[in-house]
Amino acid sequence: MGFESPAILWALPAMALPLVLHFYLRGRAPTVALDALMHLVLAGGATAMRLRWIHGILLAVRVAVLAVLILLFARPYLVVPAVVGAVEPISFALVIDDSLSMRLASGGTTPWERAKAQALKVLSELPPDSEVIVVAASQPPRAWPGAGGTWTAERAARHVGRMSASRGGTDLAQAVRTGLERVRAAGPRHRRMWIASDFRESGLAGFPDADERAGVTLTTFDAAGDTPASNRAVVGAVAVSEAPVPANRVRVQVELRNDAEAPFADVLSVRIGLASIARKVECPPWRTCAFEFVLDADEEARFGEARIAPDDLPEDDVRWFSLSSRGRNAVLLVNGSPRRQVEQDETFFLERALALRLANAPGTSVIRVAPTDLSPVHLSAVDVVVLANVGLLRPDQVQALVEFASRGGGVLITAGDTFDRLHDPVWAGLLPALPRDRLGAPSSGFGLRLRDAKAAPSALRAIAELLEQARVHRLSLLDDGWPADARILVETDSGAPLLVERRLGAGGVLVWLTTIDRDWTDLPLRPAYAPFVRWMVESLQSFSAAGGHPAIRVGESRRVTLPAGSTRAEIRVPAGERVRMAATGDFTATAVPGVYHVRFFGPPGDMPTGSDLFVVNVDPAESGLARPDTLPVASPAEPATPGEAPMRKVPWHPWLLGIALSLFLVEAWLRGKA
Amino acid sequence: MTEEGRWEILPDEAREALGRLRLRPKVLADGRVGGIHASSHTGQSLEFADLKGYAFGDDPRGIDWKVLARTDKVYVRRYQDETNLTAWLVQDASASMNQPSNETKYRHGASILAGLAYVLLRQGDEVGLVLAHARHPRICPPRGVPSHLGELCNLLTDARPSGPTVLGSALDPGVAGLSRRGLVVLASDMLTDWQVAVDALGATVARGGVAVLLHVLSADERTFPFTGTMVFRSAETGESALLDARGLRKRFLAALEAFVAQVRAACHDAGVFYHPVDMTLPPHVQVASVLRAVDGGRRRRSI
Repeated sequence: MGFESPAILWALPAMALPLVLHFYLRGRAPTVALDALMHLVLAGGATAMRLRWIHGILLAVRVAVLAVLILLFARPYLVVPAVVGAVEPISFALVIDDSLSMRLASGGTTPWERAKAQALKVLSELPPDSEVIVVAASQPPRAWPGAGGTWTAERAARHVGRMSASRGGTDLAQAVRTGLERVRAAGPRHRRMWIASDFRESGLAGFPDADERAGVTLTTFDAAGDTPASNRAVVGAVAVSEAPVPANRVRVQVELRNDAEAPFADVLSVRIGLASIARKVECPPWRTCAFEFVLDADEEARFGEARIAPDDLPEDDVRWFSLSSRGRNAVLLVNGSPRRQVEQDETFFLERALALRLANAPGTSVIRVAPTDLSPVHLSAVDVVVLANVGLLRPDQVQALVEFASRGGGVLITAGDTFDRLHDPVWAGLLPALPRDRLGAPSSGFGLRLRDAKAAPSALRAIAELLEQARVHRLSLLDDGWPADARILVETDSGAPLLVERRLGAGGVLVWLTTIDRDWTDLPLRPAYAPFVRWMVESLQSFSAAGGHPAIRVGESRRVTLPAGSTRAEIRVPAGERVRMAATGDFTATAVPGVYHVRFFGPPGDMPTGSDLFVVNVDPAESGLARPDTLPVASPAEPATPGEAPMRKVPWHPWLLGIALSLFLVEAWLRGKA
Repeated sequence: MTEEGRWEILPDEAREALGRLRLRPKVLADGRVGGIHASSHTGQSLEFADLKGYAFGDDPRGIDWKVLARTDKVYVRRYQDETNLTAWLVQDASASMNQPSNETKYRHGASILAGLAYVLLRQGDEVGLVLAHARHPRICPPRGVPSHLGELCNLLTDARPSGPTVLGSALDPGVAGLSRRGLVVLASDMLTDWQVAVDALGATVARGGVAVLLHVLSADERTFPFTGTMVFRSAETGESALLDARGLRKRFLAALEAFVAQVRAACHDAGVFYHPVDMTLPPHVQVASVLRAVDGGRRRRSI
């Protein structure tokens, strides 16, 4: 409640005026002895009592009249949230979750069907001339209409009526942010947002807080329904090569999620080409279980799938995996500073470290090549390329490395005497920044430490104490202005970067800013060396091992790079359609999970110059049924911030005026009775 | 009481104006001495009344011998006796009579009663006085001597009206000796259980006497000239109320009119002379008016 003219409220004590006047006049009023009046008119207690009552009521009415008049001039109003259904047109954002989890059937219907029906109902109840924005909350969030306009409620209802749930993940937070921006830009009307979702925990991360929601009143509709749901899903499938020999043996790790009250005891099958294996597996309720399968797959097979029997959400009961790097598990060593003496060679310690093989761990094959001989042919046979103190490479070689990394390969670059020569701008595609200078350490050398222990990979944290025993005597420095996808993993105790990671497309680059041999550091002589080198190589392998991981999910884009000599690419989607791309670019039509085959073509009439594939899976987070204890927005409605939300002022003037007039009439009537 | 104070209620001009007036109500008086009023008894006097057939026990000295000679029948001559009148004056001395403050109803009524006493005593009648006061009732027995007027005036002047109205006990024949046939005059505002007073006066009439009610109401009561917010107080009960006089006037006047009409009607039914006292007129004028009314009382009972 508020007042347009609150200063007038200072006059409220004046409402005591009738009381003061009453007692004042009673003391000052002339007294007349008139027994006739008392005998004839006021005779009997009833009359006197009645008059006393009337006088009391009259006094109260006069006080009330003054109070109402003062309030009337103060112009009070009641502040209420602008509700759906109000008479005034509003700016309205309808955020509807169309992610995969909304397809999970429970109680005969799906959350999507419930949300859609409720959305149509809400739209039909909007005041005329309201401005409506529709936002779909699956990844990536989309808003209609485009170009910042608005729709009428009828137009929005037609659009919602045509919508169907996607197979993508949920990004409710970004969808709400999009809705907030659009509804704020719509106009200065009352702003409301209606959110319909099943509110799974996975989709609520980073939900806008009250400050971000200020000015917009949010209302939620929980589409999950009351019927308990259950879901079993294949949430992970990764192919790991068993060993270089036999090359066709594949180890497949499968993760199964059982979000149900009953344990899972059913067949889990894995198929790669013509080879398949099915095994009855068990998984306790509300657990995620890992299983491993080993298949002797066809050499030509390049993808596989893991599958369970369909349930209420069949889309997540199958998961595809790529075998594009299967069996390689190979490292290409490019030695930029070879020595005659083997133990002084740049890669001597590195090769020894890679040759170590732990029990039950796959071995790594190492291919050596001179910098001048490096070609795309070499790159196609390995997972990781190590540029050890390489000072000069041709631009086409560097570009090939960039494409190699973008497709999921890993590149490890180590510094040394020749590292400073990498001044060609083409190296900026690989390095976070070009080399700037060298930094010599004091006689005791620099110590090593992790830059951010909490954010560092667990394997690196495990050897952090061993790393701290090593000393670095010299290191290279990089220019400033690093890209956002670069981060420092290891640094000297003086704060100078030592190990920098940069993600490139589906792959990545690690830059070790001192030597990989013992020239500038004693690390090769330390116990941390072997596990550190293996960790670097394995982390780079992990990109390609998953077939270009992180495997893209429904709705994400995939970078399609035309190889040299190719003029176009043709992508065959799981539904059979073919999409052409005339240049390198992002392929975004990934709405359907499955295997996407890519073929590259040269000039028209030529045969295909190459092929590739990538798999698209549903977001495993969509398979989880976990919900937060409390919804991010208090249901059914929550003002964004008290006093800041778009509120509607309901004036009291007409009511008070009516009350004042009524009181005047009552006062006059009572005065006649007194 | 000084001589001047005593005659305040009956000044010289009033006595001069009333000096030639007589009150001769058409009733048979029960006086003990001779007077100007017809007695309820026939006796020795000069005024022949009628003839009556002789009956055993009649005084043979009254036989009309001439009638016997002419008609050979025995008749007895009867003569009208004349005696004095006993008048009781009853003054309401309640607190309500002490209003308004400048010229009270009590003083006005007392002046009228003093004037009546003056007239009655001058014509040889006996006059008694009853002061109807709750705590200090005073009764002055009837006497016919002229000096009795001073005593009556003293009583009327000395009295301080206060307390509730007690007309019922004041008019009780057993208490005040009002059982004798005569004249009873009550001066009161009747702001009490007036029906009791009217009934008592009616009993006087029933005994063959004459009863007069002087209904004393002040000008304030008759016109209710008050305006604005005022505290009205009852002198008898002590009650008070802060009231809007303008809004109350109409209702009060209507109630007063009804009240007067009821008292007048009750007096008429009981054979009591009802005389509303207009306090704007001098008391001796009111006395003359009362005398005229009572003299013509055979024809009408109210003025």
